[in-house]
Amino acid sequence: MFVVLCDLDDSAALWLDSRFRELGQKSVLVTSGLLSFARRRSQWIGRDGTRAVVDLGEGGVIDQPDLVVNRLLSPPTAAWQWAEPGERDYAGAELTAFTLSWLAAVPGVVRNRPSPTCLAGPSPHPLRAAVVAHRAGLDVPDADVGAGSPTLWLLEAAVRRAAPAAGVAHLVVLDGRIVDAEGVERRVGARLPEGFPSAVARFAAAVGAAEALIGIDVVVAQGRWWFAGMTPLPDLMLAGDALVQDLIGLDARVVAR
Amino acid sequence: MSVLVWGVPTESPVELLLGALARCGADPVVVHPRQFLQQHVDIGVSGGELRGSIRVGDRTTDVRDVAGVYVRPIEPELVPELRGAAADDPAMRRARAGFDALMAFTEAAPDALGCRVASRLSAMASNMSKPYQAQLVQQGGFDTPETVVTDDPDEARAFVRAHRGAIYKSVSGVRSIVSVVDLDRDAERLELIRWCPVQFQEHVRGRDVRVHVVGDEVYAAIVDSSATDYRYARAQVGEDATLAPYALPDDVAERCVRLARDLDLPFAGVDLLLADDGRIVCFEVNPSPGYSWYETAAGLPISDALARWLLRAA
Repeated sequence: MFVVLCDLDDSAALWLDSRFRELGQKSVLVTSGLLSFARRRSQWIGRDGTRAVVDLGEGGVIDQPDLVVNRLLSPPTAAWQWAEPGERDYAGAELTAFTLSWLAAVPGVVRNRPSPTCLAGPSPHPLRAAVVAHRAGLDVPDADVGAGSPTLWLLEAAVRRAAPAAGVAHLVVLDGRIVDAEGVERRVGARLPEGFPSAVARFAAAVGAAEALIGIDVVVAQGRWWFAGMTPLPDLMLAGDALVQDLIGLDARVVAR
Repeated sequence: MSVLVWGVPTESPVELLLGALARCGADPVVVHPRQFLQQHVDIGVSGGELRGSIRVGDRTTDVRDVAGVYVRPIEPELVPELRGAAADDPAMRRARAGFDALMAFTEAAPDALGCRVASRLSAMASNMSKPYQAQLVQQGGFDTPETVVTDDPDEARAFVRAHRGAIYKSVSGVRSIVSVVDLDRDAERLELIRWCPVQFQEHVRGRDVRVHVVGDEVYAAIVDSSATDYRYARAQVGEDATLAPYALPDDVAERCVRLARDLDLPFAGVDLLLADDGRIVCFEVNPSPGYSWYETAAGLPISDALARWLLRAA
């Protein structure tokens, strides 16, 4: 069974779930709301290892999924929306903690395992990401922290630096590899610089995304591809069916139909 | 080279560290969260390298001259001078900007500058989920208590009976007080867990040991108390716990150091239990230990070790 786990407004996740089903896979879309009203959520941790059951009632039981595509940003707190703020905050912390532990250990192929700072996966601080990207061999624009929102400051800086000739691209990177690199080149209208794919792979490994599905923003100007930020929530539809097939292929037990 | 201390100087762990740094002849840059108006932090990336400066009063320090950072801040929203201030209040915005810039610096500095940071806030986050951290602790070679996290009252009852008693505590780091389950007394309350999973653990009996890891060094104290949670011994059993230095076996010490390193926590408080059945059980790893009690009551020179560790790169 495939599980696509997401927040309510994640249209990319909805698309992925529908493509899985159109391709004959048994896929379940699990929103944070559905998870919040689960019939049962239990995890055991002990000398015999870790196991868990999440019973969604009519939505099915998640215990031994083959593939989990995790895009959950928020804890499943819908059942607490009308609680006193203090209780709601406490429940949010508890449910974040449960969800982190559950997704860290759920069996099968999981893209992405959560990180303590982000349920959706690896999420290094943008400044650390910039420094690591430079170490990995990617071009990084000069930027001041605090210029713009924390997640977009590098992108804004890169665009400002390269304008007016800049183009912005979003790369979907699965396990350190750019998905549909030729499609990216077509959209950008330029070839990937030599060494760029291997620099992306080094970057992914350095930020704990060697086995993860991430998005990398780049600003392309005058033949240079500037690193402009990363996200554990890539725009899946940009990579299209190439990504869908890559995800299906991650689970050797599943034959693409 | 300088050492940066990001915290409230009168808070006992910070105060002890400042004393230790003074004994080493160091003159640390102290970023006091309540004095945000006297500070300015300018951080960025230039040519792919981390650059910037930190100004406190009249003293300005280039970030490339910072060798070590002790991180124990308080969020701007909790600063007394900003109580009730809205997010767009100019003072709040200034405090938030300074906090965010310092956080950015401490997150990037180890990779960018080889700076020692105890510890990155992102690394401290592993402690926000106790069962998540327990999985990492197991990978580090320690036993952890048999645990179920569940929102099913029947499951919880079965677990308690199977283990002939159990304790419960929060799953996150919030409201984290250990209490004993009493199935008769708690019967009604147990039904409430349907709203949110609760963590139940076998009640392992033995002697608590707190191990402070500082880089490659360990400082351990053994606890004497009959309380379920010795930190609240006075409330639970009417008298405070007592502490004494404890010589950890070498292999246990090595496991503690390795575990802290794997968690990216160069300064950590590892909570062990020498169980009556012979196991050494690890309950959790505190990512920002409030070590003052262990230093003063057990005579452990933790602050000196921390000061040396921060200065070693200087």
